[in-house]
Amino acid sequence: MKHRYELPLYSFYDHTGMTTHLEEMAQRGWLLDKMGGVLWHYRKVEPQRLRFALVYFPEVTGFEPTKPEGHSRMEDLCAGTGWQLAATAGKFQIYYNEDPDPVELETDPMTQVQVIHRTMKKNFLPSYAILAVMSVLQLVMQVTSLTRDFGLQYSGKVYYLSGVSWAMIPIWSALLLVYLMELGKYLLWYRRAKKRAEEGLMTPSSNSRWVQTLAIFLLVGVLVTWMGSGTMTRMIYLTLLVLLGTMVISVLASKLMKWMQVTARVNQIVTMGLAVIFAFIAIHTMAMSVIRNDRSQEQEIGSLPLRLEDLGHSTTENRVHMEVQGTPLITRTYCLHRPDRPQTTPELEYIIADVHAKFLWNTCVEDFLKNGAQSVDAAPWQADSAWRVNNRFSSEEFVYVLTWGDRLVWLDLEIEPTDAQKTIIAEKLKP
Amino acid sequence: MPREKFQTLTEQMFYILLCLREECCGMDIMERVKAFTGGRVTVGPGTLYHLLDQFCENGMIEETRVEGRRRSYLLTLKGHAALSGEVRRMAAQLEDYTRAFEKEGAK
Repeated sequence: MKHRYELPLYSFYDHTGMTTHLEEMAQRGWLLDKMGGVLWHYRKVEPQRLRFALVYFPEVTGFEPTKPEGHSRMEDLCAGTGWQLAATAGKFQIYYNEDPDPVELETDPMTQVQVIHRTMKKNFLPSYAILAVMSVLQLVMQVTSLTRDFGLQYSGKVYYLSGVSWAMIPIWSALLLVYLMELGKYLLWYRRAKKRAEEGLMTPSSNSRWVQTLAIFLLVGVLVTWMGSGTMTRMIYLTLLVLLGTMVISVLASKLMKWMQVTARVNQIVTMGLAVIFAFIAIHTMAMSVIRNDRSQEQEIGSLPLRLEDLGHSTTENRVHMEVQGTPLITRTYCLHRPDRPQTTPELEYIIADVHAKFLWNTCVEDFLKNGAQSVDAAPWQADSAWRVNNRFSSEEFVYVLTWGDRLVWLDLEIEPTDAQKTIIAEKLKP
Repeated sequence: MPREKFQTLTEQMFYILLCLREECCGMDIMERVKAFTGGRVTVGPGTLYHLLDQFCENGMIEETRVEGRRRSYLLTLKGHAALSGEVRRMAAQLEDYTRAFEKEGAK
């Protein structure tokens, strides 16, 4: 094996972490050769002790059509000092030296701290701050939506605990944690490094690898868990596809404009614009596909576990709606059977909640009974327990909450069911 | 309150400016600083690159010649003033030091 790729898990400012790692790799016979957008490439060399150092370039954007003038000037200054260029990654270059005790690349602590801070301020600090604020806003939206009430169909704890919205809470929490840790760690390092630089001392950057590793583990863990839940796989694949597509479009556009010798500023603006437009179109298409999918579900009358015909009603021109969403905690199935004719036929609407997480059982029952309910005889329903729920909108409706094992059902019949109908309902809805 | 840029100079800043009283290119600056200070002060290429950029940006030095990839620089009046200011500051420090120890010796 002559080549090796690696996913570098270092914060942008962590020059100490990167150089220490590269020195260890060189001792194992791997020399950094190229830094791509995602991976680092190493080539096989004789194991040796090398010194590595990083130089940051605050003025470089990474969108320059040709090699930035600063990079060439830096390489010229290094010529004759023993420092050789290992690889370039836009805003920084990595050099190595075979001399075990060379003149350091950076010899003035104050200049080094100022340069790193200027580079961070131009790009990473604003991005991380924006992402952290977005994560907080998302979390606030998701958490407050748990307490809002738009009726059981589109709100309530069962709805959120079984849906994509709730799935986003751990993802946004994990992201917020990572952004805050990154920002906090950098600002602490900067404060300390600035103070020490006034005393003429260099400050190694704090180890950032564990934060990055934690971030990857959290995100992969959350994704695997939610993909395992089945019902949201399509949405997660689509989201990943949008992210991947945005990245590919950005890289291709930027490379094309570099090849066309477009200025760095124009390249940066056009690339970012294209990424935003692509993401917008992709998200819009995703939303439309979900809506189309919902409409197509309206045609599938056979998929309903319980239909008006089962209860002895004859119907034509049916409107049927069925929605299934699930997480490892709860799987929720919402069903609506609304016939247009005859107009006297009642509507049938029900929610089946299969509660996989036992500790959420009482929460779910309370959610379904939150408008008030009276316990009724469960025997005709062959259920463990049964309630008649007070309907907020009409006292003439017959709304029941029934339980069978881990299954909880909210059922709106509009007319009082007979014992025979109760038996049929039990047969159809029992797990 | 943040300190004004280049109000005080670090050793590296001081010796780079001092070397540029005569036209000089980047590589030569590193060698001259080392020779001037007998190896006590060294300027690394990374530090030199950033300081040359910042001095140019602040009008303390100017680029005089570009021969291929070799760039030469020269101290400007503003740079000279910064250097003189730093020397006066250090001289005042030395004076304070001497006066303090003279007083102690007189006791």
